[in-house]
Amino acid sequence: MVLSPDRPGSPERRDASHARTSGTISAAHPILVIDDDVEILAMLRDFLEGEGLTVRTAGNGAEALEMIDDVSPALILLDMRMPVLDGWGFAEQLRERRSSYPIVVMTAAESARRWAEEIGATGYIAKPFDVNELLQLIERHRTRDTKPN
Amino acid sequence: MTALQLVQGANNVLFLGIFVLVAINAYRRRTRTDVDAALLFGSLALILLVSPVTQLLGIPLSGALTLVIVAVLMALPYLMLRLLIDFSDVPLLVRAATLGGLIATVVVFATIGPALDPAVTLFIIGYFAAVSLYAAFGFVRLARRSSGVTRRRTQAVASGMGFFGLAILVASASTFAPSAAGFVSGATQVLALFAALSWVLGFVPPSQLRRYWQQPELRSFLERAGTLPRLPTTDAILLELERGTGASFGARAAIGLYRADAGVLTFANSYGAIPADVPVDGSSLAARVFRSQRAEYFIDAARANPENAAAYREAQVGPVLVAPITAGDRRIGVLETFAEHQPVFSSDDLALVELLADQAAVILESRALIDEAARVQAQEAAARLKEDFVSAAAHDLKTPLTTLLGQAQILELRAGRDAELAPHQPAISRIAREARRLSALVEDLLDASRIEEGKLEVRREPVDVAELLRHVAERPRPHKDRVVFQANGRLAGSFDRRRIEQLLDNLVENGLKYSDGGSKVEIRAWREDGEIRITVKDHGIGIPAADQPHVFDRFHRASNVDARKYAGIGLGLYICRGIAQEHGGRIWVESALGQGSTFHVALPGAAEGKPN
Repeated sequence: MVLSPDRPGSPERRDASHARTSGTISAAHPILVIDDDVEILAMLRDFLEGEGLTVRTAGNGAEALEMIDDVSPALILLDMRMPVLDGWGFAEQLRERRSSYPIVVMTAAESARRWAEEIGATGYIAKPFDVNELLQLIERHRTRDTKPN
Repeated sequence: MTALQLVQGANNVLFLGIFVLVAINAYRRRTRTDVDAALLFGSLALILLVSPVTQLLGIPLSGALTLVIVAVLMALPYLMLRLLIDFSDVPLLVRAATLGGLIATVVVFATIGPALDPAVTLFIIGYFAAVSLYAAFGFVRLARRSSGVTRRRTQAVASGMGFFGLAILVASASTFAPSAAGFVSGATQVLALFAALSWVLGFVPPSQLRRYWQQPELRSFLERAGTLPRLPTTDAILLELERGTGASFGARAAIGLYRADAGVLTFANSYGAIPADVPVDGSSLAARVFRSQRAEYFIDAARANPENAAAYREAQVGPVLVAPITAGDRRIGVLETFAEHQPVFSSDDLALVELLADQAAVILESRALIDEAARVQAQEAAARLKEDFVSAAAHDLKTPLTTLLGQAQILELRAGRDAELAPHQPAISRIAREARRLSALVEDLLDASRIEEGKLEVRREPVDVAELLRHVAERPRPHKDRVVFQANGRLAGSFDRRRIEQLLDNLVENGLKYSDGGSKVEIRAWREDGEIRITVKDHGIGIPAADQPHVFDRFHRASNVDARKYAGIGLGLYICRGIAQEHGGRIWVESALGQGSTFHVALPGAAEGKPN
C-alpha cells in the first residue's frame, strides 16, 4: 500500500496548478465520488467534469456498490462517515467481491491517514482540501493504476 | 507463718499498695473519683494496719482510737457508694439512707460502746452488706453499658465490692458462731484477698493487662480500618471511625475535620455535644488540641470550656479525650472521645486515643488520595470529552468548509483561465448555501455554550405555534415530502419565535435523520391543560431505554447511533431542552428500540380565547 500524505507545504503542492496541463487525465474511466453531502458531490462533479473527467456520484457505500461494476471507475473518492453503508463497510464489501479499485479517502476527520490505512486505500485527502491538490492526487493514483510501474 | 497469716500479709500489702497508687493518682489528677478512691483505700489500709502497728509499737488501743477505727470501718460502705455516685446516678433516697445508716452506727458505738446487743449487731451487719452489694450491682450495671477496657475495669471494681461485702458477712458470722472462728477468719481473709485483687485490676490495672483488654476492640478496629478508605463517602468513613473509636473506649467519639478555607473544624456527627463548626482559634477543647497538636484529657468538659458548658451538660458529656489527627505535617483534624461519667477514661487512655487518631489520619489520608485520583480522572474524562467535542465540532464545520473552499477555488481557477467567462450561477448559490450552513453550525455551538452558561436570551413576542409548525413542516429540505403536519386552529403564546422555530426544526431534522427513506415524520400540536403540546414522531431506529434519560444531555449520543453513520456532535437535543426550559416548558421522549421515537414538547400557552 502506498500512501500519499499530500500535506500542506509538501513540494507537490506548489506546482499543483499545473496538474491540468500534464495531460495524463482522460475521460476513459470515470471517477466515482462517494459522499453523503449533496453539496460536496455537486461541487466535485462540477469541478472534475470541468477538468475533462467523467464523474459518477453515490450518496453512500450501498449506492456505490450497486453501480460499481457498471462504472468500473479509474479511481474512487471515498467519504468515510456515511449513512446506510459507511466507508469501512464499502471497502469490506469490495474486498469480499474481490474487486479492486484505487481508493482515495476523503474525510473531515483528523484520523484520515489512519482510516486510509485501515481500509487499504491508496491515498487520502483531508477536508477541506485544495481542489488543485485533489486534482493532482487523482492524476497520480489514476496513472499508477492504469500504468503500473 | 501459717497460710492464713500469709494471706493476711498479702492482703495487707495489696490494700496498702492500692492505697499508695490511688493516692498518687489522686495527688496528680485531683479528680473527685481519684480522691474518693483514695479515701476508700486509705480507710481500708488504716483499719488493716492499725492493729499490727499498735501491737508492734506496744500502744494500747484507747477507747477513742477504737471509736475512730470503728467509725472508719463503718464509713466503708458509704465510701463505696460515693465511688458509684461518681460513675453513675444513685437515687437520693439511697444516698440519704446510707449516710443516715453511717451516722446511726457511729452514734450507737459512741454511746453504747463495743458491747452490742445482737439485734443492733445484726442491723449493722445488714447495713454494711446491703450497701456493699448495692454498690457492687451498681457497677455490674455500669459494666453492662460500657465496652472495651472500661467494661473490664468496671467489672473488676464490681466483683471487688461483691467480695468485700461477702467478706464482711462471713466475718460477722463469728459473732453468732464463735466455735467456727478459725474457719470464718480464713474465709474472710480469702474473700478479702479476692476483693483486693479485683480492685487492683479495677483501679490500678497494670499496663500490660490494660493493653490485653484493649486488644479485641483495637484489633477489630484495625481490621475494619483497612476497608474504610474504600467506603463511598468521607462521611461514611468518619461515621465508621467514630463508631470504632467509641467501641474501643466504651464511649462516644466525634471527628472534626480541618477546613483551612474557613478556619474551622467541621464535625459531621457530634451528638449535639459540639457545634458542627468549631473555629480553630476559639476556646473549644478541640481547637485547643488542634493548636497545640498534643493529645489532652479533660476531666470535665463543662469546667474546661465554660462557654460550651450548657451544651456539654445537655449532651451528657463529662470527661473528654482529644487527640490531633495529623499525617506527617498535614493537620487533618481532631478525634474527640467523650463519656457521661468519670472515670471511664484515665489519662493512660491518652496513648490509645492517640493511636486511634494516627490510624484515622492514615485512613483519611488514603481517602484523600483516592478522592484526588478520582478528581484527576474526572478532570481527564472532562478534558477528553472536550477534545471529542472539539474534534466532532471541527468535523462538522469542515464539511461545509470543503464545499466553500472548493467551489471558491474552482471559480478562481476558471476566472484565471478566462476572465471573460461568466461565473457559474449554481456555484455561487452553493457558496451562499454552505456559508449559511456553516453559520448555523457556529450558532449551534454558541447556543450550546450559552445554555451551558445560562445565558440563552429569549425575546418574547406573540407567536401562533400552529402557524410556526406549518412553516417548519413546509420548509424546503431534503425528504420534505416525508413530513406530515396536523394541528387545529391557533395555538397562541408568548415565545421567542426564532428559538421555538429552532427547537421544532431540530426535532424534525432529527426525525428525518434517524428514520429511513420510506417512513413519515409526523408533527402534531394541540392545547391541553393550559399548555401547548407538540409531538414529533418518527418510525426510525428508536432510542435504547438506557439512553433515554440522557438524550438531552450535552454531547450525549445514544449507544445505537453509529457515529460513522450519523454525523452530529450531540448538541441538537441539548439546545432543544435549553430552549424549552428557558420558555418555562418541558421536553421529553418516548421511544422503543427499532420502533421510532416521539418527542414531546409542552409550552406554557396563553389562556384560550385570549388575544395574543
